[in-house]
Amino acid sequence: MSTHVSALKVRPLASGFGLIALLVGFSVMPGLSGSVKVFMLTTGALCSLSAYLPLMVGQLSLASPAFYLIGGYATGMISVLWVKEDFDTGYWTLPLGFTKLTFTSELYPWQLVLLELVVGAFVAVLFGLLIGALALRLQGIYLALVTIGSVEILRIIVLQDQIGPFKGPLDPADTANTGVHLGPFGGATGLPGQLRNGGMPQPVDIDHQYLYIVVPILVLSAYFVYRLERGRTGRAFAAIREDELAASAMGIRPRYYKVLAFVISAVFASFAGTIYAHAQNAWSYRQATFTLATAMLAGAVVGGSRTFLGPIVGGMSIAGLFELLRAVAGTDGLPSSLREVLLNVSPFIQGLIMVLVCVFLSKGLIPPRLVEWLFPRDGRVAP
Amino acid sequence: MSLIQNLVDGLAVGSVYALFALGYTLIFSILRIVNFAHGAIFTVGAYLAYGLMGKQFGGGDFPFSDKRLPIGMNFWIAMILGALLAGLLNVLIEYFAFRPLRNRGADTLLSLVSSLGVSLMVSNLIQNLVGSDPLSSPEPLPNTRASFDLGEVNIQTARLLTFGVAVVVMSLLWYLLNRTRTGKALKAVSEDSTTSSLLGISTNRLILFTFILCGFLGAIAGTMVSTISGTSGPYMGSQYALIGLAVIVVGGLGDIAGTVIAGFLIGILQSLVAGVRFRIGFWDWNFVGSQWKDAIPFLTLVVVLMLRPQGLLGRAQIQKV
Amino acid sequence: MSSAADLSSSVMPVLEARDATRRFGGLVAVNQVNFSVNKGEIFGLIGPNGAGKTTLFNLFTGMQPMSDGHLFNDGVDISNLKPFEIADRGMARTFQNIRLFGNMTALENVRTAKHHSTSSGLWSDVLGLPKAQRERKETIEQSWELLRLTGLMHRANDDARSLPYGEQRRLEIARALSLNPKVLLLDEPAAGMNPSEKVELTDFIRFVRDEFTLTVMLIEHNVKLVMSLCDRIAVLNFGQLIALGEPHHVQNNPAVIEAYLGGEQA
Repeated sequence: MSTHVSALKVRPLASGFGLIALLVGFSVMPGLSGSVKVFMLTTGALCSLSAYLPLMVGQLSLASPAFYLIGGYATGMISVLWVKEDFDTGYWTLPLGFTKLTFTSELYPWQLVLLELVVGAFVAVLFGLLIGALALRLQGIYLALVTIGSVEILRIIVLQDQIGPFKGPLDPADTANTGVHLGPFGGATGLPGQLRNGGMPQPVDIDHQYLYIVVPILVLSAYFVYRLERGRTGRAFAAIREDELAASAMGIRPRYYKVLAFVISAVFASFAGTIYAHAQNAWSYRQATFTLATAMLAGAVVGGSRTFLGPIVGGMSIAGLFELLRAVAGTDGLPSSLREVLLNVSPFIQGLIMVLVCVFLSKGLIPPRLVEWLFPRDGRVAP
Repeated sequence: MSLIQNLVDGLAVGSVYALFALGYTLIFSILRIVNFAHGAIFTVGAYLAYGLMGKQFGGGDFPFSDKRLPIGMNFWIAMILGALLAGLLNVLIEYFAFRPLRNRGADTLLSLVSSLGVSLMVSNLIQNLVGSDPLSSPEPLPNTRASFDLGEVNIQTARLLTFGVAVVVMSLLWYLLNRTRTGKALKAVSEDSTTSSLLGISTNRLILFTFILCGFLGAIAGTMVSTISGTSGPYMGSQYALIGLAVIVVGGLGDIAGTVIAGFLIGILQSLVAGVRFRIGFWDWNFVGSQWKDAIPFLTLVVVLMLRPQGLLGRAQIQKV
Repeated sequence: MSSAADLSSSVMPVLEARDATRRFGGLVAVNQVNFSVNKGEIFGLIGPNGAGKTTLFNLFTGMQPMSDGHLFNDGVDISNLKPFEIADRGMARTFQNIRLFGNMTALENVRTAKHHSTSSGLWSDVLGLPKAQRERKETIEQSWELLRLTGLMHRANDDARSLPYGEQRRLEIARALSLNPKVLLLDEPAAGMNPSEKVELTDFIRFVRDEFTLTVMLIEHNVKLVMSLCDRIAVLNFGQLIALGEPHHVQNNPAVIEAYLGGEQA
């Protein structure tokens, strides 16, 4: 460790703390509701980071909604179908076959949220490996289409009433006890549906406390991607993106790094799903739409798909667009027709931003130069 | 339902898939991009045909709510005129969303995102102009939704008409591509993009022509689908946009004959699966095909890509070093 | 170190082609080619356009599959290895139509090729473990050194695609050298250079060969350059080896004269 402190070492630290301060500032900012902020940070920032990772190796993937869906179902299946709650004592029990874990908190225990994050990420990674195995053979638009297909197939699977021998829980609406099952994933109504009054179990008191979960996860994820970008793995990613054949001639294994990018992508989106499923109280196949895939990719491209900061800013902007327009519509003195339009045109504006950024700002809202200045690359000065 | 019945139903759906996907294929074969706005054009076609027939739009607080255009065209004229207008819209899309990127030699990722943006804009625009209430579609002939029996097979008139229209349009397209100068040029460019400069073909004019043609195909498909289903909504194109993508990849991106075959293949497979019901006793599992119907295009896509990454008829591409 | 001494002491050729064949459909791009390259040699591969030179390079570097025959590196069969496995064996190449990582700086281009000689994984990178720190420091030093040797230090922080053509060629060689190769394959390194640059390049290739104790195989169109630079030459025409030997022998070979004259008439 060198004790020599140069501007190049101080600036990244300062920039890092600055960004975290901005994020915390955003979290406590009045004017936006807690649930909107949570949405912007999970479905916006984390999911766009997820869409960004395959782009780092030059792969166009629209599979993030699938990972997001898996993360949310991990929440639903663990917290609603697996964990038992005792309403008298307020205990939460996790049956584990021969034994069980009991938590005595009134709120849904954070340890179980952690379990959901881990399980969700694990399953998402398995799914990512499956798509990754296809990705090895495919490139460009072919891969994009297969990833779209994978989301559609996953959506259809979770809709099923029965998969093989698995039928899922009995339908509580079936009062005559005719043996109607909801399907292994809760069917079309999703989870918890009718299975639990008041939706998903809540690990926090009020919506905005979800920020205590999201902000640290986002900061860690961003730091992870930042370090990744600047390291050996990141250079391999970038080399594959620039020229796969030349990269492999330099000893880089393209397949390994493409799958790695997919796996990390899966983890981020599943985290977002796990948290957001709690925050919005319910989860179903409708959470993973093509529109969402578009928004995630748009977040990465609009923000800038060459540095970690772009997808975070872009993802939050795209996800918060509707709220922003609503805030504008709320200003005094606007004619009511214009107000009406402002409230209804957010997809139009999102589309327009996508087109304009592509046409005029191909590097996105966050210029790579800015990130380069905030976090100077090491080795720029001759030793 | 009998096997033949399913086949016949599948032919109608498949013909629309083929017609619609040809719009993707032609643009891809010329520009090597996927125009995601094609699904929105599909919707625009259905709405234009509806409007041009002078039918009243749905209720609500939108500019066109409860209004009708002061013209009342015959279904067929409205469909064709609407399709031409959709073609012009496609030209605007090319001009604003694709051409600047192409001139700059931008990454294909950008043109893809750009077309996704256009798709959002167009569907949202429809919603804000006429509302999102489903419209009950006009009938080209009286009692279109009625059906008749042919032997054991029940045929819905709308499906028969759709199949007929698709076949006529595809035949015209075949004629265009193989017998006319512009069409031959288009085909030449689509088969090898380097030949365009050699043949002295004005590529930009050819691209504009292709966009008009693709808009036309997509809009006809939209109008016919709304005729079969009986309704149209601002997002009716989104599902077709995705199925169409599966079709073109199965057909071997950019391959015209492959697209048509893949369209029919997927349409028929969907229809066949919908009729399947069996029980796996060991698992006590009722397999209900209709639940898996929507997955068919994508399952076909995945299977075909596993076995033949270049598509059904596609040739393997050799990478130049 | 003198290359002549090496030549006499080495038994096993560094590179060897045994009936190397590559067919594209009906076309035979490389047809049963046999030759070997000795340690420390600068070996030239010449021939008219379409003679199969680049295809042969691609076979040696795993970028195209062999149709028939075998390739050896230090006696080990390397036919049909993947490009990165070839790189791992210490064979580095440049490309005829420069393939740098355009949006990365010159320094990053060179650092990237340090990939195989370092091993810090994702986690040690992200967590900044001592091993990753040490490797980072070493690769930065080595990369700067390579830029110094290739005279590109003033370009270290410029994007590769913004470099002038000649510097891009040199950067590509620097990137290849960054692999610490034992064999360097150069595909038309002098393409697009003016005569004085070509002379410089000739000196540079010799210098690199001696400095890094390399074996060099290069493709070149320019007969004059090849004659002055190479220890031995193989001449390909229509995928077939038509001559092999020292420059002055090959120069007077009737088949070679025929191939070149025939090529000019066509």
